[in-house]
Amino acid sequence: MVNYLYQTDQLIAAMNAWLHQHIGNIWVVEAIKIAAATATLAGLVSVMAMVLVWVERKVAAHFQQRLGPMRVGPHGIFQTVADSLKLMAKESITPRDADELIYTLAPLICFASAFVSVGFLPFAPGLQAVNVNVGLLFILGVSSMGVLGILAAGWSSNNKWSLLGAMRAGAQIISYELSAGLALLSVVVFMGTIDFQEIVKSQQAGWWIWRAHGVGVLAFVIYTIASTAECNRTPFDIVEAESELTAGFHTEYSSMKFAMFFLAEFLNVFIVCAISATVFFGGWMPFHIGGFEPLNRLFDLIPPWLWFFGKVTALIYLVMWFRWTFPRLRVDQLIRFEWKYLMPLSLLNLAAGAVVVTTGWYFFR
Amino acid sequence: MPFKFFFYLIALFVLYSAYFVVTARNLFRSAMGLLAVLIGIAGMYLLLNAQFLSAVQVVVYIGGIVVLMVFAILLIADVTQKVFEQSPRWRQGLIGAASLLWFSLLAGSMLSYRFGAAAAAVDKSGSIREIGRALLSPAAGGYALPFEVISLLLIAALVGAVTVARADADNGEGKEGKA
Repeated sequence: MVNYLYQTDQLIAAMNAWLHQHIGNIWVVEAIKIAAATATLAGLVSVMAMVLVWVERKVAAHFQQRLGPMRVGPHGIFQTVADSLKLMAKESITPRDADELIYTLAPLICFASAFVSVGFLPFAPGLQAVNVNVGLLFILGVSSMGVLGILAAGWSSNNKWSLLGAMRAGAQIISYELSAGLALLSVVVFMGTIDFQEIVKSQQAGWWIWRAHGVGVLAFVIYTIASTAECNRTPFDIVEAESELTAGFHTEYSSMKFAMFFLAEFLNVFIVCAISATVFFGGWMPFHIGGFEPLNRLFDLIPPWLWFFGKVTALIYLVMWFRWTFPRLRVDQLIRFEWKYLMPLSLLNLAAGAVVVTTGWYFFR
Repeated sequence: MPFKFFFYLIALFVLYSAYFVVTARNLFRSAMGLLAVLIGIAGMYLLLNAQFLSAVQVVVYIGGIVVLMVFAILLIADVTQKVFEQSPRWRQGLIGAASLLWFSLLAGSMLSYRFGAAAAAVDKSGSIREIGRALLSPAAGGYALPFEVISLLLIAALVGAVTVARADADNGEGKEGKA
């Protein structure tokens, strides 16, 4: 049984066999599998968002030498539970002149695009809701759909601040998507695949961030900057710059509709960090050093999904750290930074990556 | 059986969304309808096991084209909250006739064509390696020439767009004030 903790693909296979044995109809089995995967992901997503909100508040507080939430539960760990209950109990308001259909649909688009993206992530061997051979491309496309939800929210609220916030979000996300995509592409050149399980397996000999030496490190830096911008997080949070736009595109939203935007925002942080962990840091692959057998054995004792979540947690902490380190950029600075510096740099990096791959000048060929 | 069920489900969704796109009296709503149509078509590709095509559909059409369209709609101030009037009767009649003509042409050509099973049907989606080789190989079976021709066409369109935009900015110096 303990074996299943490590070989999660065997666990999935065993569950699959059990289902096929006890239920004859293959379509019923498929339906049960889909329902189980969706329920698991929904549970994971909602718990994770709650934990992330609490962690964000705690990290922020400690960076400012405060304690943060302390009242509800030990060290305030039930604070977000209380907050969610409060959010659910609030009145859901729709402005009189809002376009009601689009106004209701907008948070759904945001949340759905984030939720579907989680389905492509490889949590452990075999532990992946949807296994397509173009997972990375799919996740980039699906998560870019979220910007439509933001634009729709800004437009349908019939509020100038909302519209301005949405326009800023659109300009920012469309611009930074290019750099994020190019940074990932320069590592895809090394991997030769965009299937998530294959991506992880290609890092058996070493993580791409240092196997691809300079190109890998530069790609990681570019991807981290661009993905922070895509998540609308500080220093790129001009989308909801409170001093200028009240709350940006979700000014008019309240209750569960607001909660969905909030959930999608934290989910996006998780998704970009998970992509980064998978592409640059070996995903669920344990950390190994060639020749240090005892250390490698010790690290093998940690199950792969713990490795995955550990790496993602470290990256999320990094992103939260940014928030209290860098001041907010102005709109023109933000756009100039992307188009004049980041994008040319990532194009150069891609070219350098192609040269390194064709000359075979990287570690552990 | 479930294949057929999902096919008709998605087809119904796509048709209804397409109907919404043409009948919505507001450009933004039309754009949202278009988003639904394109998602449905991506789902159809996935149902046919064309995973790469489906992913590209999502990236290019939803992440690129619909976002650009919505952006353009938001930038044109008069359109955002405007509800279009119904067009006059004679125009409705003409549009109806034109649509009917187009539909009968399509239906006629589809019904007269004898569809057969493809000679080399593959039930597995092509990997990006195969697709990349096929796109860039100059040998027989490769599509290097069409690929390059399309690239050239796109670059021409890009340069054209930039030229048009620049000429506009040069003519009127105080353009920003007017808009």
